[in-house]
Amino acid sequence: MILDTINRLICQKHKTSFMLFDKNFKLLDFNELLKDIVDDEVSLTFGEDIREIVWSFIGLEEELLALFRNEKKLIHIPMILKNDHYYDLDIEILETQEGEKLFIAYFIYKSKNSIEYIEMIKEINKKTLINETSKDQERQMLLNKELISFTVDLDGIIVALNDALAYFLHLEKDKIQGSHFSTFFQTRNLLLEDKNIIFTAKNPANKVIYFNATVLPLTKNGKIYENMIICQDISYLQEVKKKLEYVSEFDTLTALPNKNYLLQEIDRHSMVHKSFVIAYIDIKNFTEINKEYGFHAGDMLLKHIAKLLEDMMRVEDIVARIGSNQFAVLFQISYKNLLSTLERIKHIPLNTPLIYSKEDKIDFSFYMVTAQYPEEAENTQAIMEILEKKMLREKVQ
Amino acid sequence: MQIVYKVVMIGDFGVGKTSLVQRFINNSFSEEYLSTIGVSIAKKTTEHSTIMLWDIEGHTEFKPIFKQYLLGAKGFILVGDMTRIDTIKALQHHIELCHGIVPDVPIVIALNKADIENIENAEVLQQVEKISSHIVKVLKTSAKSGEHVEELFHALDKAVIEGL
Repeated sequence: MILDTINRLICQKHKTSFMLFDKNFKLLDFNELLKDIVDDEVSLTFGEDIREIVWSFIGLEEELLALFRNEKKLIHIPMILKNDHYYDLDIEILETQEGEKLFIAYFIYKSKNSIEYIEMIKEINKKTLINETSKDQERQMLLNKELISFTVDLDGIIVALNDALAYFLHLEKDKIQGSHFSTFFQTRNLLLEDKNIIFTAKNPANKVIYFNATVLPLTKNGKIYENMIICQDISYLQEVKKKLEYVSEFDTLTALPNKNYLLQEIDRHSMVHKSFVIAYIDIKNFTEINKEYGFHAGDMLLKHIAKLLEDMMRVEDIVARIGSNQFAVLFQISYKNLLSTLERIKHIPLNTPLIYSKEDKIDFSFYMVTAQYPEEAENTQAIMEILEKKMLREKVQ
Repeated sequence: MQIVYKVVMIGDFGVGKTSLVQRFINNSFSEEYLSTIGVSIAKKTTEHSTIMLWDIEGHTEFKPIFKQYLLGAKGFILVGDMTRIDTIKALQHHIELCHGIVPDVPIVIALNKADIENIENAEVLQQVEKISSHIVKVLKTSAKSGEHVEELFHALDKAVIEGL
């Protein structure tokens, strides 16, 4: 037993296996947790070559030598999967009381939450790959087909078309030719008076596709006799628009409305003189929580509080995340009818701390102040200023 | 005497690195896609050697390959997906990364998913062989059917043993 008891206890507490070995890679010491990492058929025997015990050491000989010569301080290999567990491998030099230099390798287990996080990443990757693959296939199809283009006479009857249109509509060309273009494309400008028009059309999968249609008049002796229409798929712009609308009004972490949305709602209520109460919540020591448990834990805490608040509210109330660690609730109810709800909100931290992992229970608390419309302020800006002032006073107290 | 050495699989995510390892080690294949996070190390014993196969997480635009995984490798298997041309074009970048960490080791390239309709862009595929003089073999593989998978690993095994 070369490693002292305290170090062993620390390793045990943090679910960390260790192995101690010399410069000839002979195993000198280890703790019981190491058995979870090695294969069943491997025997943990003192004096055994560590490369026979743990596969990840194979190939690391030169790195270990550099460590031994103090050319580097640490070898760190993260996220090694073994027996359904992930662990980080850290190797350092340990100098004994007798001055002998040994290697100590720590196998640091990833917590349950990290594993959940990993599973989430896997799921995202899976979805991304599927999207990417289908996008590639679509792109490939598009490469084979030109832009959709067709020619219409002055009455809007399709007189000629390219393969891309037949392909898009999944129809034979002769089934399309002779029909009015509005049979396949919807537009507000049936007379094709503008150079650029938005067309919509349903593809065979019944999905609405948006096209930017460029109208090119074909002329003979200065007179227009037909129009050629070239369509460019701009559906992705619609998707971008939707995403931008979402991001401008919602918080992507908690999926709650953001400050922008809340202010619009306050505006809407005050314009019709509808009374309401705003509760403003500020999480105490949020920076310290991030520092102590990491940003992932901080994010989980925000999601935790968001869910608790949402669960506690009525459908017509609006819970919003209005700052990094600030929430607000818009209650469409008078203050006197709200007292018990506010009391319940105050008790959230006491009753429901965040259970981040088996080992980590994160206690938290928050400041809360309220403002009433129209009793205390008459417009959105005034309400927000009152809330800020009250919050400042609350923090000072 | 058995030679024991480390080989690292490298490629963009979703190209089939894990599937190639599974086909080589267990002669099995699963249609289900589950991306590798971190590294999974598998062992394969051949006639003359024991290969430690480091199946590392794929490169994505959000996450580069972690260089520590490449340390001490005696050979690399680079994998591209024949249905995704970007993953083939990325091979050059992966080779530069490998040479930056461990120069002068043999490399074999698997152009995977050859069993499904693919790009078959002759020009791009010819370019692959020319990326580095350390490339000992380029094979169109299919982890699903097993096509050229054994050959891929054996080509690298042979090159590594000859180079020792």
